[in-house]
Amino acid sequence: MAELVRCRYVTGVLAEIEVEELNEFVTPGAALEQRLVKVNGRLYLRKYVSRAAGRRNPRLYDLLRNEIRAGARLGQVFPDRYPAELPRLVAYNIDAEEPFALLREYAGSPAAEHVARFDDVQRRRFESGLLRALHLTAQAGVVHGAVSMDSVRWDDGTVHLVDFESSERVGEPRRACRSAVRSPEQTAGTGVVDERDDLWGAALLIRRLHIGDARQERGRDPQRLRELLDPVFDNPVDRRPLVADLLGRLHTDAHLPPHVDPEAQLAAGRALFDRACARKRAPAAPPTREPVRSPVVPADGHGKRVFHYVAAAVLLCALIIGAVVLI
Amino acid sequence: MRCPVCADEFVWPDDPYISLHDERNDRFELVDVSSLSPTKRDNLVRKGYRQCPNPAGDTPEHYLPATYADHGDPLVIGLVGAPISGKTHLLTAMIRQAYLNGLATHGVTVTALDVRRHKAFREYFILPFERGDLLAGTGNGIVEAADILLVRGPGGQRPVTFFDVAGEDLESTDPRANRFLMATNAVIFVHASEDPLETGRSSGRSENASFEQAVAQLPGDRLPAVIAVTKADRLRYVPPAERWLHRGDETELKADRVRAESRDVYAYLHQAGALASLRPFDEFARCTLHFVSASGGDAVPVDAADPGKKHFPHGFHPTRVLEPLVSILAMTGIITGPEADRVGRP
Repeated sequence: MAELVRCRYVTGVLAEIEVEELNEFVTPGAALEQRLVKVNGRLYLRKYVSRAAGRRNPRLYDLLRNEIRAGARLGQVFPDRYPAELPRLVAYNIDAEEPFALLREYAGSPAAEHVARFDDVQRRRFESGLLRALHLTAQAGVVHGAVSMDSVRWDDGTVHLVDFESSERVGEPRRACRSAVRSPEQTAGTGVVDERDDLWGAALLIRRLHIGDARQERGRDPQRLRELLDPVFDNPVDRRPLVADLLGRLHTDAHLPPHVDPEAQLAAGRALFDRACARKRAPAAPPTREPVRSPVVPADGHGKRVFHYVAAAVLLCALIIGAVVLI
Repeated sequence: MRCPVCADEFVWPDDPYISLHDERNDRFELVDVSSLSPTKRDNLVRKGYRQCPNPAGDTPEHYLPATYADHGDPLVIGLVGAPISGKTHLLTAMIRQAYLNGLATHGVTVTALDVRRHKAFREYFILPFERGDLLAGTGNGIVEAADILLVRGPGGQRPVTFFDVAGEDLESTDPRANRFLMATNAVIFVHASEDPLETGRSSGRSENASFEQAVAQLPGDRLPAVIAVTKADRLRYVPPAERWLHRGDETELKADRVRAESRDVYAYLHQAGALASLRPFDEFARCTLHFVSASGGDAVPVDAADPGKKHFPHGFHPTRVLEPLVSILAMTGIITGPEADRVGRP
């Protein structure tokens, strides 16, 4: 049965939509509960925190907030031609009893189901597809925070990076979080988030794709792999290559789909603010003519009463003088 | 002395009579404290009140704390905004955070000056707010100080009175309803982030009668002002509000940061078409703008069958609610220093 729910689009606009619950959905990279739902005849994924799960683990609300924040940002940066490599958040409601994020149905299936059977061409497509996904998130200033085999899906040659539950935003203080796929800086939670943070997890994943056993000493890796990944592993984050550099080394197209700066629409207002400040700073110009002042009437009506008293006094005087003259 | 309730000026009495409130009979009793020992006298004076003479005789009987005149110049902060703009929630969250020592990082402490008034405010507003209940808006015709605090900061100590007036009253043309503005010496203009689905309007209000009334009556060249965009949690994932709300509460006063937020809020209001809400910025020489969220989210119906009764299922999470107050305290000299001195200047 369809349920009418309130939610916000990625633009923040409030809407009401009819959601029809279908079945449970599981991805290896998600800690949040998920269900497939139908809205207007189309399939969507509903990530949510049930009352019971939220009581057991309040941290789930943070994960949902991370997912929504990243999705909203990506949706705002790529409003028209949304990249196939990324999950598309459509709407959310974080205030509901059971807060949720509504995403377009994921394509493909978990990459772990496929990689064992990959040939060389598919491996190359996987690594360039993964880096391309990170190139897109970097453009939006989003860091996934948990790039691993669990967070990647494979759809007939296309990589999808999903489950942004650990995501962060570039330029904000890093959250300390211990995980095998996070860079030393991410694990320590020091400094500010850098778009190159995700490269660590991506490099581990690419290496696993080619080597299989991640415990193998890196010095024994194929030269091509070492040339690609050593700059990631051997440098602190500020000296690591950018994703675009790695795409260049792979001779992969690094162009971005049409994208916008969500803050561009604020430019006119900010310019007006600057002008208003300049106007207020300027010394007041001398008046060119005497300003016309309207009579001030106190709010309690005293002015009106004074006027009445004066008028009455003048009238009384006139009457007395008139009477004296007549007498 | 100007009474913050009736706006009448009067000479603060120097007599030994103070009024003590009899809780049981809910009435004030006049007590002569001249014959008491200094310790007892001081204790009673701290709990006591003085009846405002209200020379104009146009306001119901009201009392001020007996120590109201013992400190620096009283600061009277009025909250101005349209009906359902979130003034009550903002004021409640702000006062609550201030009592929770939220201003300590700025060297400011807060205590109740009017204990009786604060008790009532706590009972009727703060406690329901803490339970996650939705607060009723300010009742029409209420022109009463919500709370009177004693604020001690680097710049001295001053009684601070907050007014929350029903939006309908402010938008009326009845001059009596606007009386409280006469006693105000700092003002917080409250603009709510609106949802077109709920308001039925596709863009911001072309007029803001509450703001207009206040701007017309207040001397903008002398009074500090703040424009607070409430219910900013509705914009929590939309720039530029997202960036500010994500920062959470500030622990340090930085004039450049206040200016950057003011510029972003101005740009947001401009983009939203709420040009009428920007007028105070032009009219008040010192003015800052802030995004605030009193509750941290929208209330939702307790029961789908009764959409009128709402609550906050995940509790309340006030965000940046002290920023407007910090700006006012900086602009009025309670918070001092070179950074404070630059706050709100163009």
